[in-house]
Amino acid sequence: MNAGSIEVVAVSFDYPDGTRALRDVSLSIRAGEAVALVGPNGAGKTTLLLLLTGCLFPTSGTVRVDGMELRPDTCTELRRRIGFVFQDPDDQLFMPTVWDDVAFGPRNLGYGEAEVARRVRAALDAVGAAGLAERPPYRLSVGQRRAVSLATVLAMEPSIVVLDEPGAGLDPRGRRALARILLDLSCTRLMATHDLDLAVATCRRAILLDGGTVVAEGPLPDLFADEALMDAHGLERPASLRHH
Amino acid sequence: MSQCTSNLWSAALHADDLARRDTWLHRLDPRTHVTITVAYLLAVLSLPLHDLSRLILLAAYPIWTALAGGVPFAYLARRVAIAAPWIVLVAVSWIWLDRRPLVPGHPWPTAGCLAAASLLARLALTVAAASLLLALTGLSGLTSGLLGMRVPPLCVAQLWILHRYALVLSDEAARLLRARALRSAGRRLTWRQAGTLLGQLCVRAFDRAERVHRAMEMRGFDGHSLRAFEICTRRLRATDLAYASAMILWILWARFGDGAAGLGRRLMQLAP
Ligand SMILES: Nc1ncnc2c1ncn2[C@@H]1O[C@H](COP(=O)(O)OP(=O)(O)O)[C@@H](O)[C@H]1O
Ligand SMILES: [Mg+2]
Repeated sequence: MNAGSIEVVAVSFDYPDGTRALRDVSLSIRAGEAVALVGPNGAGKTTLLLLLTGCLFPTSGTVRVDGMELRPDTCTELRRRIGFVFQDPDDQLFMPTVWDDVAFGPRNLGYGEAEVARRVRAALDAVGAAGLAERPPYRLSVGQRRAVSLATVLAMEPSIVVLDEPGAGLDPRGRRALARILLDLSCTRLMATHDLDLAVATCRRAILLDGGTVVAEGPLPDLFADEALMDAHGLERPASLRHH
Repeated sequence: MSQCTSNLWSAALHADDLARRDTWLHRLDPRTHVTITVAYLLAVLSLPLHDLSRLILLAAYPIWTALAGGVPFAYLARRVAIAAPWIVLVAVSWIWLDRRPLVPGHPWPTAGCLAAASLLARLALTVAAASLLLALTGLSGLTSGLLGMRVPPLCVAQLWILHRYALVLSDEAARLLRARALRSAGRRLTWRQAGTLLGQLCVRAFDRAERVHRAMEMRGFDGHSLRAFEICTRRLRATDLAYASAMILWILWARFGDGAAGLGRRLMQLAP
């Protein structure tokens, strides 16, 4: 299993209104790794994820997925390997039932109904939402909707899953449940979050982004123990690391 | 906040909830409902503008269907109200343009009034019929039915995306109005505020639509194929054929027969 690597080389990105959201960002993520992308609001996390999934393209620099450069002409092919879980589940869920929503992707990929059903069942099982199949998504709690959003992506069996603020709006129990789901996945995971506890619980490495550049990177939980670094970038040390 | 969003959703998606009901009408094939609805819309829209009596007779269809399908009249009324402003505009201009007296010697009501009333009634009936179709089949039933009837997938996809965007728009509008209401301390909405809100609505709905489209694209939706939707390939049952023929015969009778004239005569007899 070596599909699922990401390489970002000297990427800068300007929004059409001139806002420079990323400047000279380089990073690499190995297949199967779980990495947290942390940083304060406005650091450029969402922008970076949109670049990794081919929703936006860099102003300069290159993004490579499995060694292949992500460009408008290759993004259709590469997108099959990358799943993006949006920050707001309401952007992601739109079919009348959870089952249909999770089946949406596999059906678009052209699989037969038997394979679609297998994938839907596996994805719903993986996020513990098997009992919700017949429910309409807009009637679920935030936690359930987030789990189903993740299932819609897992049903495509991507080699990389990218999540934007997966812990937002969840209560502590919901966050623990989510952490367990994320830990059990074997694909490459990259999640943008300012919830450092969730990062520590699910990832072995973190990349700290601020003002559109990578300011630090290192193994977890050690990186977050650096109080001066955390303070300098407006982050709070996770509760699990506060001893005194 | 999430509670509030999910309420908005449920209000917007009311039709899909209704489509989940289990009445004998709901159990009919979506294609049956599509066929009847198309016949009905043709009948209503092809009526001469001044033929109010046939229009009144044709109103029996939505009433009957709503009763049999357990669709609340409030749902239909809301849908009609959403579409109303545009037609009211046209209707008012009609009254303005056509001021010939209807009965010689009396300046009021004018021919324009009759035409305007007829236009409004038509609007109510067509919107009600289309909403009933959605309430009986649901959006996925409707798409699968249309695809089963060999409607080009591109057209069906357009319809589907249009519906999705309409939901996004109404959802965004409800959020904005609620956010304003919570901080307005009970003051009335001014024209100026309404203008600002409308501008905001456009920008936000556009942003949101873009995110939704992105999410669909990320999951392999290319806007052309509708592989994600089941295509109705079941064979039509005898009950479908029977109900469709009965309804279409009735619609033909109401549109072309003299039922309306008979109704009119009886009404005249009742009048002193
Ligand atoms: N559509 C946009 N147009 C212009 N600027 C934007 C847009 N989206 C985000 N930005 C700006 O880009 C920067 C990074 O934003 P974002 O990637 O959303 O940060 P984060 O996800 O870390 O909070 C911010 O300064 C933000 O204001
Ligand atoms: Mg963000």
